[in-house]
Amino acid sequence: MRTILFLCMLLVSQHALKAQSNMLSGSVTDDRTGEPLIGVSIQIQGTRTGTVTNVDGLFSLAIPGSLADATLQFTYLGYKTVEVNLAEMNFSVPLDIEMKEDFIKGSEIVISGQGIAMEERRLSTDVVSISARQLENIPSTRIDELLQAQLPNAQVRLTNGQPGSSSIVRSRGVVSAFINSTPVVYVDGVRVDNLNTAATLGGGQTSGAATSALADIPAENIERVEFINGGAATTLYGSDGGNGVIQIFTKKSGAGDLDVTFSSQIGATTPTEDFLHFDRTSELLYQNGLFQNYNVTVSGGNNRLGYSFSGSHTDDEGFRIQNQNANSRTAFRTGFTAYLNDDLTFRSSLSYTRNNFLRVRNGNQGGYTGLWYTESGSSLFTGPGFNPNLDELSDADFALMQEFVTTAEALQDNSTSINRVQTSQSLEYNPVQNLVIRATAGFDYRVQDETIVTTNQYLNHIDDLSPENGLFNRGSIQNFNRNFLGLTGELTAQHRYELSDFSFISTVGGQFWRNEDRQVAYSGEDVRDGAQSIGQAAVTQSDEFYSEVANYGVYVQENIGYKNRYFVEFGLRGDGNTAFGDDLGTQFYPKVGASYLVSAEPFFFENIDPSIISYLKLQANYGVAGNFPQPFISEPTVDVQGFLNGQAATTGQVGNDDIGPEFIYTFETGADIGFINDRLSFGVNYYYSETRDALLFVPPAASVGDELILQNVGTIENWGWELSATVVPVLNRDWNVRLTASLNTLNNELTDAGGAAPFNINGFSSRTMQTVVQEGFPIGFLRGNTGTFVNGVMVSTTPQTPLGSTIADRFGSMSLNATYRNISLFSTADYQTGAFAHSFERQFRFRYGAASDNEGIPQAEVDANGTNNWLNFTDQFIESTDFFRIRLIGVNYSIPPSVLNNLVKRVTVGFSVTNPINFASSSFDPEATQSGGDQGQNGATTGGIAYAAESVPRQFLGSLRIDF
Amino acid sequence: MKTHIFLLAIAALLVSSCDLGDVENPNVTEGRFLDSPNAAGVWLNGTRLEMAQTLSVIVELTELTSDNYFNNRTLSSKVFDIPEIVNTDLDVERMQIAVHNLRRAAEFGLNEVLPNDDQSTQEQRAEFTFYLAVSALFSAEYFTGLPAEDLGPILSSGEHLTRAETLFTSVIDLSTNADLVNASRLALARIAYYRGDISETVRLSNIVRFETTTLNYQVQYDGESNVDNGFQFFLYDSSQDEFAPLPRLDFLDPKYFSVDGSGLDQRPISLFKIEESYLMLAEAQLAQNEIDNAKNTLSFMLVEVIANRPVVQVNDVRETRSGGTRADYPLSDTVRVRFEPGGDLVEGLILSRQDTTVSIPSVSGTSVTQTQIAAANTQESVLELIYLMRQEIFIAEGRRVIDLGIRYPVAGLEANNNGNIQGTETELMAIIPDFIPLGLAMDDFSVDTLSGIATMNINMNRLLVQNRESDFILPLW
Repeated sequence: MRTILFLCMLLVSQHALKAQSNMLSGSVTDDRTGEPLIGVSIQIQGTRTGTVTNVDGLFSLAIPGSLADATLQFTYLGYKTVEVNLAEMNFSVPLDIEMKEDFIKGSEIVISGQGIAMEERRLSTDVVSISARQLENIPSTRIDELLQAQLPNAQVRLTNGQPGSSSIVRSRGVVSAFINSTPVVYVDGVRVDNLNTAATLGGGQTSGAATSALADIPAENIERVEFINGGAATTLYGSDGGNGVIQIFTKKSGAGDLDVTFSSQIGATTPTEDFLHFDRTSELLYQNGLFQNYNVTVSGGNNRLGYSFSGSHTDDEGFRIQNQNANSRTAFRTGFTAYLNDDLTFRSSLSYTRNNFLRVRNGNQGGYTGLWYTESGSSLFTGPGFNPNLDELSDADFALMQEFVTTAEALQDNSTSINRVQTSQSLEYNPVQNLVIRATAGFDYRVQDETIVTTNQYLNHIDDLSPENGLFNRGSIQNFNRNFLGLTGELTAQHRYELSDFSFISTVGGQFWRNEDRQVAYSGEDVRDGAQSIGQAAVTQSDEFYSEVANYGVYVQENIGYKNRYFVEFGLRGDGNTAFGDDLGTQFYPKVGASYLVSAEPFFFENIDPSIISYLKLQANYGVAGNFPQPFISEPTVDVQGFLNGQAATTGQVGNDDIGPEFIYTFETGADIGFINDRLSFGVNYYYSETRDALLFVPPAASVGDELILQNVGTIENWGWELSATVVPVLNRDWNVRLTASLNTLNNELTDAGGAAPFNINGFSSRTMQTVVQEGFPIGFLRGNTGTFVNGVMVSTTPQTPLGSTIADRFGSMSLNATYRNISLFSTADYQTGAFAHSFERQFRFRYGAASDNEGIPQAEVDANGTNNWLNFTDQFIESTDFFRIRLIGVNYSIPPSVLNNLVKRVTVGFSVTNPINFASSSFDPEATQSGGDQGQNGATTGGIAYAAESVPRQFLGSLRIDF
Repeated sequence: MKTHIFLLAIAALLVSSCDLGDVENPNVTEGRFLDSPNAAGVWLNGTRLEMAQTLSVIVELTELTSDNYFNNRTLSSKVFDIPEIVNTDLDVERMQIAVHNLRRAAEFGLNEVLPNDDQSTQEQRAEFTFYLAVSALFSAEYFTGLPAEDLGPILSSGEHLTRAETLFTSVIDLSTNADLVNASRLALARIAYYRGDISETVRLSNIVRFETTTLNYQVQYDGESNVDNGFQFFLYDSSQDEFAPLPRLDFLDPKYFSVDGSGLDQRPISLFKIEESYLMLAEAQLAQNEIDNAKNTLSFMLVEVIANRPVVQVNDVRETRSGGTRADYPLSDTVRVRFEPGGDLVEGLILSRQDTTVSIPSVSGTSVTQTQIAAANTQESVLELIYLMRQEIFIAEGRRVIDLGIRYPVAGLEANNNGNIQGTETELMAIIPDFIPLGLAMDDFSVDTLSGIATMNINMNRLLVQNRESDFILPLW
């Protein structure tokens, strides 16, 4: 590896001296406002020669003599591509380009699969691109939170407001009852850790707040993000494209001389109190925490070398008292581009993230957990014991409770530290014009360390044991460590060829990736207070988990265009994967699609006024993507452990030689239509996907033991409509108002369980509440006991009745962006309908007599049976979880340079509020649910059970951005 | 040229990285294990571990179901106390899986591991056979019926008893280990008792009673290896006061405890105790109307066995029995107990734990005295004493629920996946004899704090005697 790096450095220095031909310079501006456009990509088509505009919209580019008659292409996300023929160029005159905003994005260049860039119009599938400018306004440092309400066809739901918690990300339904619905994530072509559930040995730290690897994917210095829903669009990703793909591209070059940008956001993190049952809960548990974020970006570049460096630090005191949700994050990213010669371009990105945070106990942890204590009524018997109806507590008792809670919170010590290094190195080779060969290699290395120190003082406090009666041998230290290493290597070649009216883009490539996941749990028991290391423990224990999986794939794709308006594409990927059973060979994923740009027909605008219909594209495709099974699941094993001073062997994993991937077959068809010169545009898409050979962790009969057997036995159906609309009602030199909205429908059902009995994926015992996989029902539907009441008294209970789907059958997002001169207002929101969830909090409040209205249970039942039947009418605690949530409202003002005497290039000040407004049909937060994963690491979950999980907090932030 | 060197270097890197595609399973594969030395010894130890885990699950759930213990919190089953038992309950599955795990481990040892290990011994075969026999006995004792093989047909309790009888007889033939042999003899006596065979019960009880007066075959646990006696957690190690005994059994609790409360010290659970042979013999004598002989047998048991069982000092100062549901458990030795409303007042059954250590019988204890035995003069009164002694002596050993005649159904998970089960079998329903009171009544009591009297809602032992003709209980009657 060192040899390669040395060679790279050598070539950079050699080629830096190479002579150039004509120097072209100029500027790029917005045709409407005249504002300079920063970061516009300028490239000689079919080559890697290019540059980007600087902070003043200026560029200069050396044009090799051999390319004097080539086409120069200006591309900028959100703007229509401009092409200029160099043969007609006068190099002595600056080239000033005005670019028009593109509301439909037909000319947008996207990375459509495992391949190289292609215009979106050529594709039969949709790719959503999000620009750096869109992301800049969002204060989050989490990639999933950044994408929340930005994706028209996907849902992102944070399941807990505590730092680093897992989320539920899904787009076209739940295609798997085994694999988590989180899309695979690539950063600069390198596959990164996307574990979004608790890990095998830990990572849950606090139940209901599993630690997510998405939370610390470096979000600095992003150039753009692409999201692909799944189906044919992800066929070329092969055995793990089934849930869609998030591609993150980072900045690897600036433009011109040194650009320095400083930005900062400072404000308050405050609790979301909308869903609390007792007003006093907030007084007991919450605070307003100081939030600070500082970011510096340095970039520059010329036609030899480009660079972009970003460093940021975020410090958030969090919304839990005693700063028990404090979150500190430091991140750096460097990006380089080196144009080694006319044929070779080297790109590199490297990031480092350090994230430290604290968590408090929550969810189903038993003992004392803040929300269970306050909102669910366990204050009845925890600690000294109180009236659990906080509204009825006298001020004196409340003061005593507050004293108890404050100490119980302060004595918790649950810390997590994450260090993550990720890099991508790529080399592009242009041996001849229109042929690009690219090699990419990189890794993601993530180290997660969690420590839970439980002191005797804490345990004695929550058990209400006085110092003289206290016990001092129950203290413990639990450590969890997870090391993830992901390696990716890819070699891709793409060739463009034009013959008469035909154009061909051929792609062929091979990809290799490997994941290694090593987890160690080590704990000490019988620990004296003050010890922070298990070296101080009377007794220590440890456990280890190791998993590795490697995947080889090759793929080909042909995209054929005719007259630049008829397009067909074919693709095929073949994969070998070490998780497949021995009896399984290479698995193939084919796709086929067609698109037709009707509005590019000559007759179109001859007959239709573009002020009526300005754009029309039709498309259809059929493709297959996959989900690979759990590593090593195919092999029968024996479990060996210690017992009575010797080795003890018992039955381990059953094994399955035929285990293979799930295949998600998707057909989709749709249209993009623009009206009134694209001021109003609609996208409509219908999809039908069927997961065949769905992996189901089939619980065996009791007589076969308790080892679940993973089998390819199921069929899961997902289908629906994806509708999106963009309207630009006002557009002139001063005003630019843009509204977007989307509506998605979703129908999900396990149509065939292959004989597998129903099983739970994210719930408790069958006597309480489960989210279940069962033939004929949606994945993860709620199942529990239904009570029958006569005259207000329960007379019978029916176990295991279906109580509603946890998957929304309607969802969507909307956004508003309005700019008036230097002022811009932005807002995002999303919504869902048709899903249900269960409130364990309400059920506990009833059980412990904490609710003055018995949570709606008839008084006659309470008079007759007390609260003893609380688990026999779980149906009474199910609620619809329709919601409409505004995720962000913000305003920015750019101070003109002239006002600042040109001391700096630009200053932008702003103010934003995250999660300001919630409307929900449920009495509890419909998104704050048990994160689940009963099927283990990376298992499927659909949420659906609200149980002492924190709502994501609000933030009120002022921002400042200075471009020097 | 330089470009080509560069590309060659990249190609070389790609070729050299081919071994990155290799993966190695970090676990022991089945084939590798069977071919390794001392596989029989290691698998046998694993089967002991299965035995420990099986018994742990059974004790936890059956003690709750019975009148012995009440779940005063939210962990473990929330309905077995009632008792409410449906075959879709995960805890029914847990119990059944536990029994099958024991059977499968023993069968794999006998059929796969022993033949493959040249160094295996007859004593190992005897012990594997013993565990297989225990799995058959448990299948008969706790369930309405159960398959005896993977996905096999449901066998009745009687059929499982026959299997167990054959297997325990083999153990006696194979083993030279006196404890294993005597435990198997006692098991044969128990099988005869279940069959209602009075003469065989007498004969087999006497055989083992004449062999030993100390037999206490226990299943061991290992806290340092995380193989825990789960019931100990609920009785003592958990700080949350999970399970509470019926107040009249307070003096026997906690049978399992760790010396320092850390849970590392995991107490064994008795599987076969010689006391049982006395109790079965006395009952058989009583069934033949030999009241004096029965009383003598009980009296001998107190002298010969119970008096020699250890009593230990337990620090239980943090026990407040103030769980999430009932906070009225009596905590002082000044509180006297009535076994039922209007019953006699009994002293000394409730211990004061707050100020000092308490004395707890760690193997067998009973409140029944020689005086009480002497005073009992009717068949009913002696029989009630026998069942009270069975309850007290076997507390926290998972035996009480059998005496109550409660049987758990074949799990829904089995019915759904087993082609031999049609779904209409009666074994898919639990057996709860109709004289068993529901609605938590068995665990219920009231406390008169002014007079310091705790009154049990029902005297279950009297109820058993009253219903002794029932097919579900008291097999000798």
